[in-house]
Order: sequence, then C-alpha cells, then structure tokens
Amino acid sequence: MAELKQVLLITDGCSNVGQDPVEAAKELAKHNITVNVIGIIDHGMIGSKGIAEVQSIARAGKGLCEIVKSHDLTYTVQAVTQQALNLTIEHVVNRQLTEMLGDKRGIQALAPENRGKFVELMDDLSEQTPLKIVLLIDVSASMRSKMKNVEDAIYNLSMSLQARTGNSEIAVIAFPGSIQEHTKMLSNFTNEPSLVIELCSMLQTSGATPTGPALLAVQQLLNDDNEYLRINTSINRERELVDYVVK
Amino acid sequence: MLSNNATAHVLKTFHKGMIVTGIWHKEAYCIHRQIGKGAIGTVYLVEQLSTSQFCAMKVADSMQAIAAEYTRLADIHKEVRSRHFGPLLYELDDIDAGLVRLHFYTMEYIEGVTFNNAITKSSPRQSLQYVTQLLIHLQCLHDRNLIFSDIKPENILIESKKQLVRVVDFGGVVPVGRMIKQYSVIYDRSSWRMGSRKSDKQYDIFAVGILLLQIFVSQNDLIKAQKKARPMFVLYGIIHRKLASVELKRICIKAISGKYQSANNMHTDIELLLSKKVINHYKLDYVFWASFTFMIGSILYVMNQTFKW
Repeated sequence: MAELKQVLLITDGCSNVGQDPVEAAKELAKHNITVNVIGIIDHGMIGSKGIAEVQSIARAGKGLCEIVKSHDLTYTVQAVTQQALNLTIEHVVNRQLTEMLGDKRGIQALAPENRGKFVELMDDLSEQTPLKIVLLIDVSASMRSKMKNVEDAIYNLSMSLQARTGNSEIAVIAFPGSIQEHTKMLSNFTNEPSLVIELCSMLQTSGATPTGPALLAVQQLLNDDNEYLRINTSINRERELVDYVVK
Repeated sequence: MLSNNATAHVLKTFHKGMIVTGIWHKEAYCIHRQIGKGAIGTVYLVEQLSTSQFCAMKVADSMQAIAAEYTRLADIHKEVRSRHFGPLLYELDDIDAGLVRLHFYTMEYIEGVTFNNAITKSSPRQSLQYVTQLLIHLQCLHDRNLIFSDIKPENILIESKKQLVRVVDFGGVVPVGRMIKQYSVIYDRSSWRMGSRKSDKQYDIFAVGILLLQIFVSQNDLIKAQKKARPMFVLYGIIHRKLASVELKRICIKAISGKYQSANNMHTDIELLLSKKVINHYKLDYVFWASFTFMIGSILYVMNQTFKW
C-alpha cells in the first residue's frame, strides 16, 4: 500500500481570514489526504459556531473530529491519529473484500467467527503502512494557556508513531505564521522520536486565524515537500532583498 | 473513549432491564449494569436469558477492535488451557441498534476487587504476593511473544473466592516489536520519558514496577511526579524515600530501568525477599525497636527486683 497522508488540525476558534476551510479540506480529501480536527474547548472560547466549523472541516476532509479540554489533548492527539489510520485501512480492506464477496456490506457480511483473519490483516497494515502526518497548530493569542499541553501532545505522538513498524514522518506547521504569512514551518518531516517543539514564542497576537489558507499550504507540502521548501526559501530570499534595498 | 456521536447516543440508551439480541446467534441478553469503560468499549454485566447465566459483555462500535480482542484472547486460551488468568470467552456477535451496528463479545464475569482496593485492605506482604501472581501470568504471555501493554490496577482483579489474581481487558495485547496501542500514562514508560513505546517484555515489567511502588506510595503522588520537568529523577527520589528495604528499592529500580530480562526474574527476586523477612514500613520498624528496648528494660527491672542486685 502506498503511504497514507494525514493532517491533524488543532485549533480553539473560528477561521476568519482567506479561503473557506471546509472547501480547503474537501480539496485535501480529493488528493487522498485525511483531515482530522481537534477543537479545544477550555474556556468556552470555541463557541457553537466554532464547533460547527471544526465538525464540517473534519467531515469534508473525511476525517475525525474531537472536541476536548486541553488537559486531555496528549491522549486525544495520539488516539485520533491512530483511529483515523485504522479507519482508512479498514476502508481499503473492506473495499477489496466487497469486490471479492460481491456483497456491499464488506467484512460485516462475514459471520463474526470468520472475521479474525481479516482483522489481523488490518492490524498488520495499520502498523506497517508508511504514514506522513502534518500537525497544523493554531498559534493565535487565545492558545497561550494551551501551548504546554500542545507541546506535550506533539512529544507524545512522536513517541508512539516512531514505535510503529512502518516509517512515520511528522511535520509541524503553525498558523498564522506572522502578519504577512499564513503559515510557518516549525519542523519539516522527521522520523525522530521525542520531538520537542517550542511553541510559546510562536504566539501571534494579530487576531487572524487563517485556517483555510493553512490547510491549502499543507496540501502543497504533502503533495511535494521539496517544492514547498523551494517556494519557502525563495520567499525568504525576496525578503532579504527587500531588507537590503530598504537599508 | 473515542467514538462517533451516534454510537455514544445509542450506548446512552442502554439501561437496566433492556434486552439486546445478537444478529447471528440470536442469543438474548438482559442488561443489569455497566461494569466499566475501556479504551475501546463499554463493559456491561448481563444475564443470558436462555441459560440465566451472568456474564460480562464488551460492546463497541469498532468491529476491528472487538474481533481482534476476541481472537487474541481465544488464541491465548487455546495455548494455556490449564491456567485461565483472563476471563473465559463465550460468544462474538453483532447488535443491530437502528442507526448503527454495534459489536460485542461475552465473557466470564469475574467477581472480585481491583488491585487498588485489594492493597488498601491487605498487608504489604499480601500485596506483594498479588504482584508475584501477576508476574507469573505475564511470563505466560511473554513466552508466547505477546505483551499485555495496559497493566493498571483497574485491569487486575483479585477474585473474591480464592484470592487469585485475574487479568481483564486484553484490548492492548500486541506481539513483541509492535507499537503499544493502549496504555495509561502513569504505567507508561514513555510518559515518564524513560524509554520507547515499542513493545517489549520490559515495557510490561516497567508497569509492574510502578504497581509495586503503589503499594507504598499514593497514586496522586505519582501523577504529580510525572508532571514535573524531569519526571525520571522525581520517580527515583520517591523510590528512595518511600521504600523501606534496600532489597525492595533494588527490585523496583531494576523493574523501571529495564534491567530485568524476564518477568520470572522479578518474580524470583520478590519471592526471595518474601521468604527472608517481614516487609513493613519504617514506622513498624520503630515499633519493633521500641518494644525490643522496652522488653530488655523490663527483664532487667524484673531481675533487679527478684535478685536484689
């Protein structure tokens, strides 16, 4: 099986800049990228509008959505990733089984006693299929009190994923990146365990939450990481030039 | 537990007296109460109507999780026929719950107390004996290249009848070398930043080390310790302060630092310790010395009185 691609969006509010995140998630799903969303509900910041939005993003991105308090984040990030992985594998195996059996119920058409073999196959695939995951982290000012939990969650996820048999790479992107940029790459794809990312200094107070544009940036990264790097460096070069001219 | 909203909604409607029927085998069960909630499902105490027998029923929306757990447990039982440290298995089936299809398996209902409740009522010696029984079970699994993963007090029951240690919730069991799927943070060595989450015997033995520590230290102290910046050092500090005997410290440190090659080795060490002397807290040592001095004193006094030295 080819490698699986996932995005995990961690946010505590509504998007307010740029493209519609639901449309963006749909676009990602078209390219076989699953979009999972974790909404943080701590001080009621997210609101019913926010909850509705994250749920729609996950639905459009064919992924899972969980609304949690920040102290449950560590566990949830790992569990959502694993469960999304299992679901994708189950879907793929089921599709093949449906063709073989000629019954649209797939594995559910088999008597419970006969499912063992297929379940074992799914287990093996979940463990072995290469995985690329991008963590897309909201660093708007309201996330301040949750940053420690997010850092722990990233560390924890990297510990779990690096124990898999299949290759697993994690990249971490923050949004908004700065006043000019929608996103900022904090860590490019790595398969190192115990990933420690310092997030507090990334906090942005501009009040912008460009969820849609951030998702589209991720798509670019997952479809061709080298290309993303090139674009990013060229932007930096341009800025160096601008700096130079101004001086 | 993560599940979709529809399932959570359906499980909320499960209540005492409700009858659920399997789609394939048509067995009907009457729900009595919820016993527990695991990482992948909810467990109910149910009565099988055709036999009036009580059993435990684990229900979840993930077909994969339920079938995998049932198959694994069935395989383990096939190989270790003599010693049933897990619950006996009955049947695997689906429930048609209208909106969603749920999956369940039924198993023996084990009547007993959890490890945490048992140790509050037992002496340290008795509690250590429970740990040795657990280690025998783990060795049995390890011999088959399987790692239990989710060792925690809630998953260890002391059966009321014979004081036997039984293990429940085999949802986390994985072959050696796989990723640990199910764990609880204070028994997880990665959360203490003391090793990887790739399954090996030492992963289980680490958790047993923490269990052993819990006989002498409250769970809250461990939860607090884990939140510190360098949890490993705090943990070592607790071991040095709270464990009375040097031997016990050594066993605990060996367990959490991955020095034991097998559960059997740890078992042997604890047995040796149990055969040597009484395991107690410092306080009881003081009581012993105090009574010893008092006795000598009174003997001298009595001799002084009788012989008029």
